[in-house]
Amino acid sequence: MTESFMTPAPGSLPAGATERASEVRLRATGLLKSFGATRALDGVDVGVKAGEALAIMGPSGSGKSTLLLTLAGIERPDAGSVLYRADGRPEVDVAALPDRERSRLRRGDFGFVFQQGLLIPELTAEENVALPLMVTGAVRPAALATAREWLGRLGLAGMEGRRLGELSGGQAQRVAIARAQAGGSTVTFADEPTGALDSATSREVMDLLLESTVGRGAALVLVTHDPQVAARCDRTLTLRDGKIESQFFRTPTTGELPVIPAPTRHPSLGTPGRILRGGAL
Amino acid sequence: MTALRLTWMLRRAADARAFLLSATAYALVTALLLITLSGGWAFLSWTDELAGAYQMLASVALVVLVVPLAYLGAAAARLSARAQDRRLSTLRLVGATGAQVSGVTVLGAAGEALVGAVAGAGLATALTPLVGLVPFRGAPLGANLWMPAWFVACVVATVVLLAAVSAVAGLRRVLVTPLGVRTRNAVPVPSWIRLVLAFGLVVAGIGVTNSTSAVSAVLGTAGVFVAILGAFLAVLVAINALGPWVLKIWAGRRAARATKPQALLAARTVLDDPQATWRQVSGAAMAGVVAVLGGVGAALSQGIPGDASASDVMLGADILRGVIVTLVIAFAGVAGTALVSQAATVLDREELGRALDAMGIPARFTASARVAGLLLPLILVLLVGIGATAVIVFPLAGLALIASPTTVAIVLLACCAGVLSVWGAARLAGRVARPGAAARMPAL
Ligand SMILES: Nc1ncnc2c1ncn2[C@@H]1O[C@H](COP(=O)(O)OP(=O)(O)OP(=O)(O)O)[C@@H](O)[C@H]1O
Ligand SMILES: [Mg+2]
Repeated sequence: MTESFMTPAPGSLPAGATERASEVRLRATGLLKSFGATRALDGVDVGVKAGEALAIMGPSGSGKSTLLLTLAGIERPDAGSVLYRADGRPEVDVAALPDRERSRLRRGDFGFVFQQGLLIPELTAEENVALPLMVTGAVRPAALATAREWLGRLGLAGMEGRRLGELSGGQAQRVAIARAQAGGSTVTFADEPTGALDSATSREVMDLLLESTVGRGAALVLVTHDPQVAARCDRTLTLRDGKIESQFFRTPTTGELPVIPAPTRHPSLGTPGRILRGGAL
Repeated sequence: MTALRLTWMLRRAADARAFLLSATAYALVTALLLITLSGGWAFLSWTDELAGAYQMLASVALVVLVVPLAYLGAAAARLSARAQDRRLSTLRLVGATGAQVSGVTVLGAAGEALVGAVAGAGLATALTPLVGLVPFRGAPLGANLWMPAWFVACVVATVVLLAAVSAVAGLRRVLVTPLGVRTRNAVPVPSWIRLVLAFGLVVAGIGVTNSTSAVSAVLGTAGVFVAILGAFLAVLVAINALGPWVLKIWAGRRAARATKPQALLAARTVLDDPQATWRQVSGAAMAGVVAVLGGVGAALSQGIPGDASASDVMLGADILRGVIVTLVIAFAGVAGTALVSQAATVLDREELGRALDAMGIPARFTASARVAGLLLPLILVLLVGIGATAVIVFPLAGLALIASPTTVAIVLLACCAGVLSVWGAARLAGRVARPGAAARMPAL
């Protein structure tokens, strides 16, 4: 089952696959990151296009979270660059921006969904969604209206006034998705967003996450251990020891996807068309 | 395996910062308690005919200080319970028996308390010469402050014992609820009974204060002292009953009106658990009561300048000094409580804080909301304490302002300094968080 969707079928466009905004949003090259003696990222190149969902897989400790944090401008790489392009603005190197600028970029352009939701427990669902908007400068009534709209879209109408303790794990995660989207983010980063949910809830949350990001032409970068979750994404990247081990496209490439160099150090590992859980071959 | 060995093995499981924090809390409470007691000790060494009045005033100060010190002690116990929770979840995983769990809990809490209390005794000893410089009745307290070593040891032992007892009490709760799952329920509405009770007590308090001459005729001077002390206690109880309720109303209105995100978050923090905020700021209400009563007492004893006898002036000056010392200790207690409670919140919220930072909501935003959520209630509570007491003793307060405006100004300045110290403590508490880059982001 894993193999069927992972097998690339070059040249055949599935019916209904419309050409969404094909613009490259993020382009990382030569990422290196060490923690002491640990090489968390060892020369990673990766790109993400608008309207694309990219899944990052790999064994524990392979550098998935580090890659996500680096792409999002939270962690600074030791070497390499992360170029981000927004519509109508010049391209910036996220890795080189000063802290304040990176913070502003994350607030305005990026969205984040965490494994545990991580809502502010004192605030209601709608206030949790509205708070980042208010920090960005939106007035309270407008921020709350946007928040309510997103909560409704994610099936949480009527729960706007609830707080973290009054929401199920899946509901909290939907609030987190609303929070990540309400600001109109162009790239959403999610680290094991379904890691703490059962499989039915996980499917629901994944549906909503894809719908609210890729569905409106925004990009989604997602770390997951679950092949079923990765199967829903356009592309799956497998890391091992901080290097890209393999890469698979669910839908055929059109040639416009960023070209990702095949792994040079372990050519035998990078053969497309075969993927195994945990990256073991 | 013995509980002692288990405790020692588990010391790594507990966060070193959590241990340090509870030990610090126990150290602060022990030090403040010892300094307070040494003051009382010095006053007890007098035996002349004026001694009674001084001892009476000192006992009022002790009653007042019970509140902030008790809350500081409770904060220490709560903190240590939190560290225990983590240790216990480890124990559960390795399948420890109930007896081992109890043993580890009690030993862990007692260990923290012992380290803290001994450090606190050291701190108090180091500070005593400084406190000894404060003059009463024309001479510095000096050597009168030194309490016998066995007494200090008893205080330390009591602190450790109380810590162990509260750990046992907390154990029940911990064993019943599944660990690791912390859910929040709707805000419990402080009961209306509180309000009624408080109102009754205030009325009784006003009644007693206003009828001192009648009581005096019946019971003599000692009776008046007892009546005043009783009225005073009644006011304290009333304030403690009313406080959370006032905070809840106030925060509710602020939350509804807030336009800035910090203000919204701060108000919601108070609203989420008005009792918790009250525990951190209530000492300021007591301070407000002392400031007014003591300030009025000091101002009126000094009398109209040129019209008072030398002994009146000395009594007035001594009362003022006593008030300032009481305010300093009370605010030190409040600042200590703020420091440890806020630091505990920061530790608890480390992951959330990092998530917010990732989202582009920087730590300084959350910090300013956190500090505002403490400081605004603190100022409110202080002002209510001052205002309510001034109303109760209204004619006297007016007289005091006329008789000695400088005394009133000094007392109010001391209150301002106290608020500043709490602000500093709350800011300092933010430092326990590991700086962003050095920390793992566990959930992202
Ligand atoms: N802040 C840090 N300090 C020290 N080491 C770190 C830090 N962040 C990551 N590492 C190390 O870098 C390596 C990659 O970590 P990373 O969190 O990216 O792995 P991961 O693929 O997300 O693993 P998991 O699936 O377990 O979440 C690991 O060896 C980890 O221990
Ligand atoms: Mg990870």
